[in-house]
Amino acid sequence: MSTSLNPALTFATFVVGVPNQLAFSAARAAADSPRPPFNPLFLVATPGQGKTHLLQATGAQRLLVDPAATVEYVSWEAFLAKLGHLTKEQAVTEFHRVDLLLLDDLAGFRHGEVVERDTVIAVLASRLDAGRQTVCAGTIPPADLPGGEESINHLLGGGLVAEIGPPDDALREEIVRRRASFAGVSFSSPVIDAVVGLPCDSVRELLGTVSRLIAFQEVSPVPLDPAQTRVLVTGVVESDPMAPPSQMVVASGDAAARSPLLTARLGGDDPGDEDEFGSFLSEVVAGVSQQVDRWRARVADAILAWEAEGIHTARLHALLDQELPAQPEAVLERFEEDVNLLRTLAAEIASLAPDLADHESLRDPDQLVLAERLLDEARTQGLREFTPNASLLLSDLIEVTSNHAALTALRDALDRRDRSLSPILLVGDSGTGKTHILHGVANQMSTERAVVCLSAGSFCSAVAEAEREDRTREWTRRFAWAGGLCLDDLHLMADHPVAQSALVGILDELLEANLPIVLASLIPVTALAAFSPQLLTRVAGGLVIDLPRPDREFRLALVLRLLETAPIPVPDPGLADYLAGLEAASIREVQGTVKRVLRASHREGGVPTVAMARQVVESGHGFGAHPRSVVHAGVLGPTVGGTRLREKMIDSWPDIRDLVTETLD
Amino acid sequence: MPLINFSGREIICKLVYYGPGRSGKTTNLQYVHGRIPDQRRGQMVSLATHGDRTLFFDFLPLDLGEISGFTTRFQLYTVPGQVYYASTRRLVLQGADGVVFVADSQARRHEENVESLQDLHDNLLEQGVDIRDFPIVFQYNKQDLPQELVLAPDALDDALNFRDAPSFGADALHGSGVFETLKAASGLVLRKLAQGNGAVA
Repeated sequence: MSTSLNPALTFATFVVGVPNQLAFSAARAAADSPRPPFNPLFLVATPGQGKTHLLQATGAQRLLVDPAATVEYVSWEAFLAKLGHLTKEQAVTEFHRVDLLLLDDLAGFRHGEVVERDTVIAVLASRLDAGRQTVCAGTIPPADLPGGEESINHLLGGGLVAEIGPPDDALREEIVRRRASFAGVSFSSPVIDAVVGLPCDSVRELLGTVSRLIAFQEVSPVPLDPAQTRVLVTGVVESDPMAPPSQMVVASGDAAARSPLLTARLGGDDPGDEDEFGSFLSEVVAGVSQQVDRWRARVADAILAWEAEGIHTARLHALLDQELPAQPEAVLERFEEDVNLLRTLAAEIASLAPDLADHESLRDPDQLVLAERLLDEARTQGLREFTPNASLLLSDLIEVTSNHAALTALRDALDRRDRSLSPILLVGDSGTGKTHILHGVANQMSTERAVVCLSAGSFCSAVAEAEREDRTREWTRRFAWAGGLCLDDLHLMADHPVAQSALVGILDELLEANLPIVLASLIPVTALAAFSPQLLTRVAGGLVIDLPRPDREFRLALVLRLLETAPIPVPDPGLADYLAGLEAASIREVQGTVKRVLRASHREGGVPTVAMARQVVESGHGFGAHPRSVVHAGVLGPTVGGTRLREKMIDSWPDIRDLVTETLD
Repeated sequence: MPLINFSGREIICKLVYYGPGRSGKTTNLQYVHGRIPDQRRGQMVSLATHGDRTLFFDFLPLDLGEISGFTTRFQLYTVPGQVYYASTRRLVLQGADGVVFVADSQARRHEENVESLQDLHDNLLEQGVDIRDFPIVFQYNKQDLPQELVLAPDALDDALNFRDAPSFGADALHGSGVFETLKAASGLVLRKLAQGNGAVA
């Protein structure tokens, strides 16, 4: 077996001289004898001195001597690569059967080599032990091989190390002559001397030089002279006015003639006179433009993405239209922030005022100011349904001895800016003025932000509906922009845990903001077992004001006010006293009786009198005529959805005209 | 050093030619300098010994004018290759946006190439640069020498360029491969522009 042996590389074609005599003899001995006295043989030389030639000649010679011999010529790189695919045992077996192993370009181990040194040692040791010849060649003596362990270097250097020196003049001359003779060309002695005289330490380089001379000589009609030889070899044109133009052309091209090999290695043409800097500049311009203008693509992508989501992108278009390059990331980040803010505003607006949610400004990040104004409007709309009755004013409250303390306490608590007595809880029977007070407070305390006024019943209904639509949080959020809260009929929130929880959140926000909170309940909160501890704690933490039932003094003042404001002639002086003397559980009861008396007098076209009032009352239309069980205002008991109040759920009306009148009121 | 200064409308790219002593780094800069049109040619600063060994560093500014609205400047530096100028190499390497590693193709100089490359890696790591993502181009110089004396670019790639960076055979003395190397290095650096980083801290 032989591997890649070049038939031209034999001992016969190897030119022997002093510098390579030892190496040649050793190689010849290794080829001729299966068991030479030295093993391995290591040929050391700089590149181009004939190491490969000798290795291949050794292999060829062995095959001449013993055609059945197994000869393998392999480069060190290929050898290591082959070992890399084998286990140590496989490698030893594989190379043990090779009679003559020729390792070329042995360069030691590189950093990161995958082959285990152990495998190399095992292969070499196996061969040496069996007396199988190994011939190596490299540029570095085995002792100096890099990356190997001492044991490997020792193995490789344990036989004969034969150095091949650079060719001396005699060897160079012989090489030139032999090469020219082999090519069938004859050089004159001066030409040969000129070649020999050139500085050249490599046989391979010398052979290349001779090959160029041979090539030139073959196409030249005249023999080469020494001067032309030096020009051809060195590329340096000598000052020779006698030189023919054709030769000058060849000479000027010698840089290229020297560089076909170079050109091939460099992978391109020589620089010549082309505008290399201009070419470089063009590439830089293209590179910078491409990279700098990448921002345009980035912005364009963002525009497409945002517009797909219905967002107006005028700001980004403006950026894209500008001439100067920009750093788009900051702009795009800001744009995204604005879009996110816009979406937050839009979500809140949708929860407060759905009819405003489609406004165009909510899709334009450049209209943030407008969107914020829209939100203000939505907040106003969201609270508009809770606007207090403007006709119910605190100043209209009738203050008498029985409620003076309560109203004074209320005013004092409202006047406290720190809201230290908040929330204020009004407790009183139905018709004791709680609702009037709540609306009066809301009207009085509203500033830029409206103090909302609503009943707990409405609150519970709204929360229940929002809960069904899974937007409880959005619904309750509107109260964050209220200027305060007046909540009537708190007791109706019993058995409404979700509404209580929502109210707790609202109370916390308002308390935190020091905004007025006034609640009203028919019964004391402490009696409401169905309230959550969180809500009870907050409610009980404020001021509790008990509102008394209207006494005679209150009723008299109320009747007088009603008669004074009625469009009637001056009534009977004893009428007010009579009406005030009637028992009444609520203010509304007094108001109802007075109105019926006034209507009766209006029907009869006369002035209301005590007699007329007595007739109205005794006919069952006055508050004094109703049995207590009917007019009693109190809790009948919890039912589904809250507490029913008898007074607010009038069961029977003696006259349909009264029903109409009451409803219109 | 930022690669691209949007507020100042300026792009400054610092390229450092690195490699063992006498591998041809200064020759590269000299060749580039010689090919710059007169109207653009600035002064090349070179601090060298009498033996033309780079003592401190070479500096060649390339003002390329306004490109896409940016004043574009390339700054080419060399480091002294000799082992004992380690601190100077580290100094010059600071703020580099890219490196051209100029290897000496001569087989006998191979170990010095390896040592210099290791030195480069050490210095980049020391300065917190991820060499896997750092613009680097290999130039295998002196390919004009006899083939017997030099390693082929492929062989040098195998030995040095294990990250498969762009590589070029070159004859810096006569210019072959010089601008090809510079173009490749500048291309890599410019591709890093959009990322806004890459300079050695």
